Amino acid sequence: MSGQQHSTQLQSDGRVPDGTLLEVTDLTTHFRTERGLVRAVDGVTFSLARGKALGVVGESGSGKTVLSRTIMGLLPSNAVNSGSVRFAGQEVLGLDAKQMRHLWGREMSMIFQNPMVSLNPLMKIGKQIQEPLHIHLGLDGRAARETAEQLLREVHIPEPTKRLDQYPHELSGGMRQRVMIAIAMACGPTLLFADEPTTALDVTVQAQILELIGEQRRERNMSVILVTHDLGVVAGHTDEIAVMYGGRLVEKAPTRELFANMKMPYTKSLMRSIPKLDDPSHTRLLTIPGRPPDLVNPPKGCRFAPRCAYARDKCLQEEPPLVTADTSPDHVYACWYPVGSPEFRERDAEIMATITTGVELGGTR
Amino acid sequence: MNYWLQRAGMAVLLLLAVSMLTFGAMNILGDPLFNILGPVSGAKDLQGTAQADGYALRTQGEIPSGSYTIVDDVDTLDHREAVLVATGDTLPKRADTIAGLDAVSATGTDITIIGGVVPGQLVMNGPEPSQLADVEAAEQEFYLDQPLPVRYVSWLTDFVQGDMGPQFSKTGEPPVTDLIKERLPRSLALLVMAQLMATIIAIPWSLWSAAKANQPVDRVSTVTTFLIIALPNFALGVILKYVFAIQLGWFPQTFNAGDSYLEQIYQLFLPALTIALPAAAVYQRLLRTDLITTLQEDFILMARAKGVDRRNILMKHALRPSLFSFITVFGINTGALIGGALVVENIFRVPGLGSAIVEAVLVEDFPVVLAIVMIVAFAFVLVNIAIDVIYSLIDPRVRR
Amino acid sequence: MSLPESPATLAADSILEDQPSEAMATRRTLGVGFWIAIGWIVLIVLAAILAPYLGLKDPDENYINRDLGRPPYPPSSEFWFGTDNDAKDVFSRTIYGARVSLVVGFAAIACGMVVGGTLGLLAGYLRGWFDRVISFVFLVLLSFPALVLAILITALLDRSLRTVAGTLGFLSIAPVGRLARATTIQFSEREFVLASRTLGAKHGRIMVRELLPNVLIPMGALALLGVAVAIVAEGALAFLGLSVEQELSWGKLILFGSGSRDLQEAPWISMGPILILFLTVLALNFAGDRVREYFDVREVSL
Repeated sequence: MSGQQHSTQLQSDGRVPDGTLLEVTDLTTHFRTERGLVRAVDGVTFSLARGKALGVVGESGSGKTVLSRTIMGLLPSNAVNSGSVRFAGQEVLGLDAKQMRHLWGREMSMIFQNPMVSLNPLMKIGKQIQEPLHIHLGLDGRAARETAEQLLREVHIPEPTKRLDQYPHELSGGMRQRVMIAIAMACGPTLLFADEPTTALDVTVQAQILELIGEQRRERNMSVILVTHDLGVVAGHTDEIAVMYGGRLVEKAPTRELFANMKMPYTKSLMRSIPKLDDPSHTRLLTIPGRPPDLVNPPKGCRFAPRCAYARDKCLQEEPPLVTADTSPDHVYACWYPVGSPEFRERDAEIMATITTGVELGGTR
Repeated sequence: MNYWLQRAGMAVLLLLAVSMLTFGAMNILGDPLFNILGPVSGAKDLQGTAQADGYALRTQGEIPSGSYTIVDDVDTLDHREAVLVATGDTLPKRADTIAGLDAVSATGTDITIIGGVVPGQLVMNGPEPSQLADVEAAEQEFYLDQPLPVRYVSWLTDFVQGDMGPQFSKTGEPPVTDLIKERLPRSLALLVMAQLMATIIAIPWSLWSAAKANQPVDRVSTVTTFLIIALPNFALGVILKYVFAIQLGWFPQTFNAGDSYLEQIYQLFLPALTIALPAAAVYQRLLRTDLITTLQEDFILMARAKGVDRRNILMKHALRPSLFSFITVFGINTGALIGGALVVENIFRVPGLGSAIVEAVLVEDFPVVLAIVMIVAFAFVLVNIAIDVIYSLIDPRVRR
Repeated sequence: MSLPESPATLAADSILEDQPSEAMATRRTLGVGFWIAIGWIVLIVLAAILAPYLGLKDPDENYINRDLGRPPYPPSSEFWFGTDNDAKDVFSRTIYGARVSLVVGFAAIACGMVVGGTLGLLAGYLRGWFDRVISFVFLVLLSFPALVLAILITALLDRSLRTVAGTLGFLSIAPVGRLARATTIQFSEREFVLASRTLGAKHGRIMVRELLPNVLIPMGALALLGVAVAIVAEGALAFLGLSVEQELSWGKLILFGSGSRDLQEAPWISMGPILILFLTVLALNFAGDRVREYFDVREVSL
């Protein structure tokens, strides 16, 4: 089996070498549905170095979840993809489930959004952790149990021995997410996808989980792709941030650079939806007016234009290319009138004026 | 613990309700006495005996085939109804029901008739007249001299002590308990075999279907279940008997109680399959739907992301959480299968509870009918409690 | 800066949920198959009603034909389904047999709908002790295997068409009633019912004007399935020799042809009625299923 050879090769080289771990080139993922072809991911290119953390940020429907599942090869059968995904130098896009299975859980792991439904409700915690150990490392019995216990200890679960024989419903949400992380870490993967790992959790637990993921990353020299709708989540825990909108990458920069000089008005709106610490815990966040674009018939021009307060005619007609920002060579964005441009400032002033005169803003165009 | 007490209390209440209803209905709607009187026919004059005991009983002589009229004045007898039974067939068939005893034309040949009894009906079968049972003794035996509630309690007391009483018909032999002891194991074996077969067919079938959801093979199997379900069990039984017993000769056409157990199980195969096939189709549809739903759960994706292969995803992760509605329906369906067994036992001539109740109903042998109804209801309640236990074994979340 | 809120934006990525599996199966049309099924049902019903005027052979006449030798005669252009041992035409007997089967099937469900529907509606709306009593009665009824109960009733009463239809109608009270009760409970908590309640509408008015139409939809959707169940039940009773006496029905015809010797020598005696019964039940099930899907009725409890 080629998949088997492939993964043993990775193993015998002392696992994946440092340097570029993941190279995604012009990746598209479309879904054939009754309504037509849904262009969930449309021409995304990026790369990720070993040990680094990338944040993928966007609203729901922006394609961020599909992007991570495409890279991992966990898509439903109606998905069609093209482009290239090279993992540790090897093309993995188009490998079938049989071949991918040797990467899943061993080289690539995934943590899902909702720990309440992502653990098998009818299987003991211990067994769920031991499963990948058995599949990939051939560990059984006592050895597997001890490893599982060790893993639980590493993700700071109190009384790990007792937990092994408990069922998911006996654990709190935060604990379950820790168990998920333990499962994901079981075989020491080189790439971890964390898909909204904290969305379903209490605010206090959120920080702990992110801290835990960061800790594991540093200890294991693992790369992390953190998928979230919340810029605040990725701010302190990633090296780079990629912003997605309507299936496309619209801005990407090192974290510090992005927060300092964000170019896309969309990124800026996302920024506004970060909850403030002093807000009461259930305050509705500010959201961006309008709905995400229809991915069957995406708008012509910039996909964000119909919702953008700063859009002009050109934005509606021509699609902006990804260009490098003047502030940093690692910063790219796709916008005709980025934040800070004269056109942007002009429109901003108008908006501010409207607000101060007390007129409701909404549906600016 | 408290829960199980509550559950058991509910079950007992249910059984009491069932027994009261059945007992009451049979005592009010029918008169148990006429059967105690034994099979009577011909021109024998029973009138004197009956009237001496305070019963308005009339018999008529041989009724010529074709048509007849009731001669006696009906009103003096306080007749409600009487029933004609044609004899000479394996199953006695009623030729007609006479309400109010107007002139009735009877069809068929060789009809023997007895006039009615107060306040119920009278059924006759058997070619030869026999002795009229001692009414008073019968009354005591069956508590007929007591008012209905007392009668019920007496019957219930006997019943829970394992004494189901003598049969109403014939000589009262064998006692109902013996009859049940002989018949029950066969019906039980038939049902267990049927449910086992249905499960053995349904689980792999639905796993296979769900794994190939909406592919052509799955669509074909869905259509197949639809066709099987549309075939009533008596029709299916006849077809299976025709194909496998008569044309192919793989299985015997009927059951022989004298054979060895192994032989008997082999003989029960076709009857069990007749019950199992439609049940399997029902289970398959249910399980397939639930499996497809489960396969879309996040924890399945999680399992895939762990590297679990397809087989183990289905067997270890998807199957167990998908079993709940299957188990529920399995329990409910047991009732329907008992009904099915009744029909199927008649097709393949299996002397089980099913054929016993049909025979007993035709001669209005109440103790037998009552005993079987109670056993069926008890089995049903038992199965449902068992289902509850299985539930809690499968799902740790409802463990009590 | 105040921006309009759109709660949808925080929802999970919806694309992956867009799987083709079950979503495709629930189309919003009834489809060609449905109309074919309905066509068959109408055809059978018409044939049953018009049987005496269709120029069919007399179902009770012995068509002994010296050229063909001794009956039973196999299917031919003269006897479409063949004849039985008395040279009676199986096809015309099957058509005449449809009368009892269909009358019992439809009448039973109509009875179950009226009585069960009313009880379920009342129980679901009034709740309290009435609901508890009714629910327990339903439970007791459902804990009998239906066929055993039917045998009991027909044995204790008589075996006229009215009794058999009534018995099966009685048996359909509990399942129909349970559905009606569940639907009523579900709807009586909806805003429009609460609204008319707070506006001071009378109970009767709420039940008839607000609840009944909503309860009727799922009940109606299940009616076709129920008719199929009732026809099969009548067949089973007839097969046991416990259904309507004197008149033919499908179950009885199948019984007549199901003896070992008949099956061996003249399988057509039973196979003809089986075919028609099968197609009718299939059509009713299929049409019923489509209607249920069309109105998106979940519970199948019949």
